[in-house]
This record gives sequence, structure tokens and C-alpha cells, in this order.
Amino acid sequence: MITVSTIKIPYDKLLIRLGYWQTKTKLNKKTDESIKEILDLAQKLIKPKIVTAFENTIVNEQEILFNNGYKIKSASVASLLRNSFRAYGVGITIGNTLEDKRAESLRKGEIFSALILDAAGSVAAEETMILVNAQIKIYEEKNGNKLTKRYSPGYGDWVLEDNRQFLSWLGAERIGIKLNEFCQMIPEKSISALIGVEKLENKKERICG
Amino acid sequence: MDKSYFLDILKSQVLIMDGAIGTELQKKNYLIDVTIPEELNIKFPERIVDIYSSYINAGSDIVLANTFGVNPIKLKQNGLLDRADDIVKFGIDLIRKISPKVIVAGDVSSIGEYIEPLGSLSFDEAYNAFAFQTSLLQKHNADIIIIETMTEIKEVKAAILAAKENFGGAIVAQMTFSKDGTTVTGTDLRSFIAMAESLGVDALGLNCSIGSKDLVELAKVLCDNTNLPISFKPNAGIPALINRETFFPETKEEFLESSLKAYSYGVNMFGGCCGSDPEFIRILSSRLKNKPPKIRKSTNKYFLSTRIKAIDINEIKTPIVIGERINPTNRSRFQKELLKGNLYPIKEEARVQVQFGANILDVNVGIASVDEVKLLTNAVNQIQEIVSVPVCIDSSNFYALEQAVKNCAGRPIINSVNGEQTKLDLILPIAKKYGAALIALTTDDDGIPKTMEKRLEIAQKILKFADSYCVERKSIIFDYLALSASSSPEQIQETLKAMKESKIRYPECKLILGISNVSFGLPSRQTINSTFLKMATDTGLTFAIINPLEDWTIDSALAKNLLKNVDKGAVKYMETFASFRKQIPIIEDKKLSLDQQLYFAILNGNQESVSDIVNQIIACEPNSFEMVNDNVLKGLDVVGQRFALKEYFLPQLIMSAQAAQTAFAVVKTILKKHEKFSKGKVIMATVKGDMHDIGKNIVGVVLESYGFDVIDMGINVDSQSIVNKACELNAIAIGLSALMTTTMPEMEIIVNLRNTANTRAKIIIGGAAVTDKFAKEIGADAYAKDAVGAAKYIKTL
Repeated sequence: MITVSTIKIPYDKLLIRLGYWQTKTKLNKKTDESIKEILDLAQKLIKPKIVTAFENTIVNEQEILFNNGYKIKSASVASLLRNSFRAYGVGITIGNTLEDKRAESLRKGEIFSALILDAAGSVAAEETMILVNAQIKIYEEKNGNKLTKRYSPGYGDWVLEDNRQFLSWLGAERIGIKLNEFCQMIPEKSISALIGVEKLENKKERICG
Repeated sequence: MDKSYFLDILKSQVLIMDGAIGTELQKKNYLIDVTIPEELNIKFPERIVDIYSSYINAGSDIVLANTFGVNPIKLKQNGLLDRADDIVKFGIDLIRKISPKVIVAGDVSSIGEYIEPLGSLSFDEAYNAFAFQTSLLQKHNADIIIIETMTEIKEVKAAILAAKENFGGAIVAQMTFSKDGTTVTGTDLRSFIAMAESLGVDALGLNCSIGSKDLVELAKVLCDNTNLPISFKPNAGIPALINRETFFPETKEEFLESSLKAYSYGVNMFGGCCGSDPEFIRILSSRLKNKPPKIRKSTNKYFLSTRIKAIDINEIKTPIVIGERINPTNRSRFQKELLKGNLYPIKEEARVQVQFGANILDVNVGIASVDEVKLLTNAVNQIQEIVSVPVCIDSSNFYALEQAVKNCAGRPIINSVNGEQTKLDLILPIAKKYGAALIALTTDDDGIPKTMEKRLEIAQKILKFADSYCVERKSIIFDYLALSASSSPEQIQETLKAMKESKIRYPECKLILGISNVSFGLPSRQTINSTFLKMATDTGLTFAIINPLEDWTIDSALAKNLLKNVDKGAVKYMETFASFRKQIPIIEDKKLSLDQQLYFAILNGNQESVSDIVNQIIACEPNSFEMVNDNVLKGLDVVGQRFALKEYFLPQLIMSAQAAQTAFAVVKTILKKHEKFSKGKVIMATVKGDMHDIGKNIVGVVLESYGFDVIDMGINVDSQSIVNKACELNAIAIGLSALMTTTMPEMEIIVNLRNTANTRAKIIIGGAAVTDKFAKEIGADAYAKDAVGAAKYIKTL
């Protein structure tokens, strides 16, 4: 069962997202405290939600056919899933509260706050996705399978417009994810991705072969 | 239903509540043709009757009316505001028609927007929304109110206050917690108890979010920390949305097992939240209905709290330290910052005092010509977001005090009331309404009494009025006043004697002293202060208002003799300490010239200090404009170099840029020569089809810090409009941002439009997927990988 209750936004990952280099950047006390203060705020404003779907798949050179009739036309996705017999679709969001606060900060000219909130939101979304990915991985490994890397609409030749159909397959509207007229996700700090499932033996075969 | 009748029932038996309404409505496809579930009450009452009936048949003693979201904000958004009365009326009456015996609970939940500072809703707006809802529940005779599925403590506060003031029946407050025992906004269980108990709810509880197995462990914490009845309404596990279906993993048997465990802890009301259905309630009812509640061991907690943490005064070793340093008295720099509305020094004092062991922070911002009503509330809000210790709100301004206490995200102490009738009549109702603890000074209209008897008389008067205003005696903290040992040595013993006697006469009341007064006018003040603190602690002092940064380990026999008035005229004490001089730390800034101070303020991103420095430069220096300009730019250049070397990262760049912006803003305001000051206009925009704004705004701030006038056209901007604006304003540059590959072609369109228009503006582009190569391909004048790169190029124009 894939669930998420809380996500802790790691401070070190936030710093890296903001361009911090451990061996080079000299972080002073005031900046450190100010970032932590806004991170505390961000932590209170995120509400991670996830939605998943999975189907067995048949992969051709240019397209992936799902058991339920859903189809993705993309050579790059087909390449990723060439050894997969099943695929998971995942949608995650951290909700719109943090983004509202970021917009409010921008309106007030508080760029520092907006910057930290924005980065914290990105890290929170990524952490949520990592958690979901890990849960799927544990489940599939128990069944003797392994996962491909994640792949999202907009990567390679998988056109962004396909996200509409992809999110529809997931039922992402139930966690509040929408697409605007330019196919960008709202809330902005949302991720949709596809993950393939392969039999563990496949890797061995490739190595041996 | 009379409140005491409801509470009497709870004393004799546990009550079965209902299960989920929302997920049942979804499951039965009942929400398909309504805007919000509450609309069912008036549009398809038979559907909501079906749900109500299923729970009543399953054994529910309490059913929540379908009024969860009947607040004016949500109703207005859904075009149903004018139907609010009917929605509430039908929501309640439909239950009564099915079973007149069932206890009908008015359901109150979150507005859907956070209150400041997490969101933009004011506390009063939230209160008014709940007042609207709870008034309707009163009008249509709900038996009790259940506030539920709350995640933010200030919203709970607003809801309870509104219910208390507009509804006559019992009030149950429930919050929603994660497995770790905190809400998504960070409030822990004891902070919830502190707030709910102090505001006078009749019962409290837990609902939603997690399954019964995890929630029962949190119920145990509630049982151990409150004497109030407790409700328990878990989800049927954490839901998972898989293949367009919502799965709740828990079975009714698992749910029952946890509920029975909760019963054994002493929980009084049992029901279910999301994913539970009438079968869950039926099995609960079969095992728990009409059972007498388990008697819990009585607890003796004295909570003060913040948004995220509560402290139990009875658990902390005395004296409990109240840090006194957030106070502008005799601190000119602190005052100057407050007058500018700069709260950084307050936040810094808060952090430092907590690091040095303060358990509570006194917050006083009272200076002439400041808007104390606004400033005190802001200060309390900001402090509560950065440290997790409770506050002691200190003001002689009644309005400021009420606003700050109202907006406080925890249970605070009010500092203070005294025996003056006017103050008693003003302050006691605030303490009662907002559930705050209250410092009571034993003075009155005649000033500070000289004898212990008189001070105790005033204490008695204060208690009499506290009783009449229904303020619990244990919320009163008496201050028997530490006077200066130099001018009134005999008074020290009067204070200590009064404290001793107070503990006998009013054992439920705590004791507090502001310690540092005692040493006023004497050398080596800390020797006396620390020694006096030990004497007062031995006499039963609970709270000490002190500077936690000082040394509180000193225990001097000489000071003790002075304080006991054995050392008459402080002769012996003065022999030893007369020549004592406290070392004052040298402040580095003082050594620097003004231009150096400005340079370092930019370099270190000290936006707060920049205005002062620039104002001083303008007041003192003949070539002030050049001095400001040169030093700001010098500072920014070094910031840029450090950024390139990765010694600085983006937050530091922004802090420095904002400091520079402030410097130029001051110059502009004072010199009133806007146009001459500008180094040129730069248009900034995120291209059509792209909604991303943060990168563009960062570049804008950095350019402004260099003195350029930035015209930010926003996101998703039409290409022709950008070029038109550049022509209109005779801009020197157009900065374009695009985050996505799909929107990058718009940049080429703008370059082409610019080429045919009458403008000198150069085009510089940037964004996640944009490259130097792409810039060249489309004929843009420059590419910048970051804000510093953009500034570097535009400076050359």
C-alpha cells in the first residue's frame, strides 16, 4: 500500500538546491538562521499527497500499450520500458498552500522568503516522490522484480501535452493536480512520472550476454 | 441540550459517534450533482438521510450534522451563502426526524485557508466565519458542537472562541495528527491540550488522517495529559489512491481492537472518520455502547504553550526563567529598530535567550510614537514562529495586549494586572476569554504597599475579582515586587515574607518576581541579583524574570547580608564592590567609518542596518550620493565575485541585493531625484506560455540593487507587449526568462519583433533549459546563466 503521511524537508538538501557547495560556500549565521526560519514555515505549509496507478504493458519500438487501453507514443519511453512487463504511474503534489505563501512573499517584495519557500517546495516534492518510489521498489523487489528509473511527460520525445492523458489515467484530479492551458501542473510543486517494472533476471541476462 | 446534561451522560457511559460521512457519500456516488456535500441537505435530503439512518441504525449515540463546511467563505465560493440558514436547519432537523433521541452535533471544520502568519486570513476574519456558523448551529438547536479535522492551532482557537461566544451547548474540539503526534503545521498533542483546555472546551479529541492503530497511541498521550473527556475518531487507515480507487487498509476488526484499547486508556467517545462505514460503527456499538467509562488517573498539568510545543510548569525545575531582554527600555538602538518596524533584533534576542536557557520570553515593545497594537502582535507572531518557548505578553496598552493575546498561537502569560479597579475590569476578561495565565502585581492606586499585609490584601482583592470573572485561581501568578535594596533594604524581607504567606493562603497561585530591580543603584548588580534569586527560589518562587545571559551561579554572603538588611547601609558590601566596573563589550562597527559600514552591510546582506547608515551618510557627508553609490557597488562587486567562486550562494546574493536595494531606496526618497538616479530601465518578463516567476524575480532584484529601474511585466507575457513596453519606456534591455523547452521558441519571436521595432533595447535571455548556444541561434544579444551574469552584461550597456 503506497501512502504518505508526512515529509520532512531535509535542510542539507535545501541548501544544495539553493546552490550551496559544502567545500566552498561560507554560510554565515544570519543566513543560516534566516533559511531555517523559512524552512520551518515551509514545513508547516506542505501537504503531500500521492496517487498511483499500475498496469501490465506491452512495449513496442515507438509505443507502450497498457492493459486497460491507455497508450503512450514515445520512443524514449519505449526504450526505457523495453524490458518492463508492468508500469506504475505516480502523481504527487505538496498542495497549493506553500505556493500561495510564496506568491504573497513575491507580492510583498520579500524575494528571500519567496526563494527559500520555492526551493523548499521543490525539495518537499522530490522527497515525496522518492518516498513513493521507495515504497514501490520494496513491494516489487519482494516479488522478484526491479524498477527502471523515473520518467516524466516532457522528457525526451514524450510530449508535455501527453501529461493530460497521463494524469487522467492516474486520477490525479483527486489529489488536486490540474493542468493549465500550457500543460503546466498546478500546484507547480507537483510531479508526475512513469516507472517500469522488470523481472530481476533481465539484468543478469544483459550482464551475461 | 444542556451542557451539564451532556457532561453527566459522559460521566456514566461512553458514547458511540458516527463514522465517515464524506467517503460514504463518495462511495454511494451521492456527490455527483452538488457543488459541496452540504448542499445535499437542501437539494437531495434523502441522500443525507440515508447516511444518517445507516449510522443511527448501527448504534450511534451522536451523529454529526452535515454542516462541516458551512462557513461563509466556502459557501460564498460555491454560490450558496444565501442558503446557509436552510443548509444548517435541514442538516440538523433531518437527524431529529430519524431519531429524536440521538445527540445532534453541529459539525464545524476548517475554513480552508490559513490564518496569518501561515496564510493571509486575519484572525478576526476566521473568527467571524466561525461565529457565523456557530450562531446558525445555536439558532437551529444543535445539541453540541464538534470542531473537527483541524490542522492549525490558531484556527482551532478562532473556532473555539466563536463557539464559546455564540453557542450554549457543550463544545468538543478535535485535531488531526500525523503518526508522530504533530499536525501538519507542527502543533503537538500537549500544545493542543493547552490551547483547548485554556479556552474552556468541554471535551477534546482526535480525528482523521491516520488509522486507529497509530491514533490510539496518541489517544494515550491525551489521556495522560488532560482530565477532560476524550473523543476518538480514526480513519480506517491511511488512504491510498491506486488505479482511481481509494483504498482504506484497515478492517473493522482492527478498528475495534484499537478502539477497545482506547477505551482501556479512558477514552469517552468512539467513532470513525474517512473510510469507516456503518459496519465499523455497528461493531463498535456491539462492544462499547452504554459501557461505563474507564476512570482515568487525575492529572495536574499547568501548560503554557506555543504553536508547536507546550511546557508543563509543574514539571520544570524552579525558578522558571522568563527572559527579559525583549524590551526597549533604556536601549536606544533597539528602540530605533522598532520604530522602523524592524523585528530582526527581537528575533535575535529571542534566539539568544532561548539558547541561554530561557523557558519563556517576555515580549515588551512599548515605546512612545510606535503603533504598539500592531507591533506587539507582529512581534509575538514572529517570535512564535522561530522559537518554541511560550511568551509572556507585556504591555500597559490594553488594546495591544488583547490583540497580541488573541493572535498568539499558544497559551501565553499576560504581564500584567494589578489591584487598580480599572485594570482589573479590563485585563481579567481578556485572561478569561483567551485562557491566558496572568501576572498580578500587588500594587494598587496608592502605589506599592510598604508592608507584606497590604500586599496580601491586594492579592486577595485580585483573587476576588478573578473569581467574579471566572478566571481560575491557578492562572494567577502573584508578583510581590522586588524593590531596590539600596533605597528600601527593609522591603526585601517584606517581599519574601509576603511570598511565603501567599503560598499558605493561596497555594494554587504561582509566584513571580522581576529580579533585577533589587540591585538598582548598587555596584556589581549581578552579585546581588543572583544571590536574591536563590533566596527567592528558596521561598517558593516559581517564575523569575531575568536576563538569562547573565551569571546566575553567584551566591554571595555579602550580598545576602545586604538583602537581609544585616549589613546596614550596605557598608560591608560597598567595601568589596564599590570599585566594581562591568565590562562593556566593544562593538566592532563603531570602529568603522560610515562608508566602510555601508560596504560591509552590503557584503553581509544586513538590510536592517542599511537605512541607518545611509541616512547618516546623507546627514554628514558632502558627497553623500557618490559615497553611497560607490560603496554599494563595491560591495555588490565583491558579492558577485564570491558568488562566482561559490563562496556565496543564492540566498546570500539575494540578501546583499536587498540590502543594496534598500540603500538606493533611501537615497531616492531623500534626494527626490528619481530619474537622474536611474541607471536605465530594464524590462523583465517570463515569456508567453510559461508561468514560472522566481528566477525572473531574482534577476530583477539583483538588477535593482545595481540601480537599474526594473519593470517587471510578470509571467506568461504576450511577446508584442514586451517589445511595445521597451519602445514606450526607451528601455536599455529586455530580460527574458523561460523555464521550459516548450516555451523557449517564444524568445526568438521577441527577438524578431524587437529587430523590426524602434528600440535600442538589448535582449538577454536565461532560464533552466536556455543556453548560450541557443541565445546565439535566435539572435539574442546575450545569455546569462544567473542573476550576477545578467547584471554584469547590463552594466556594460
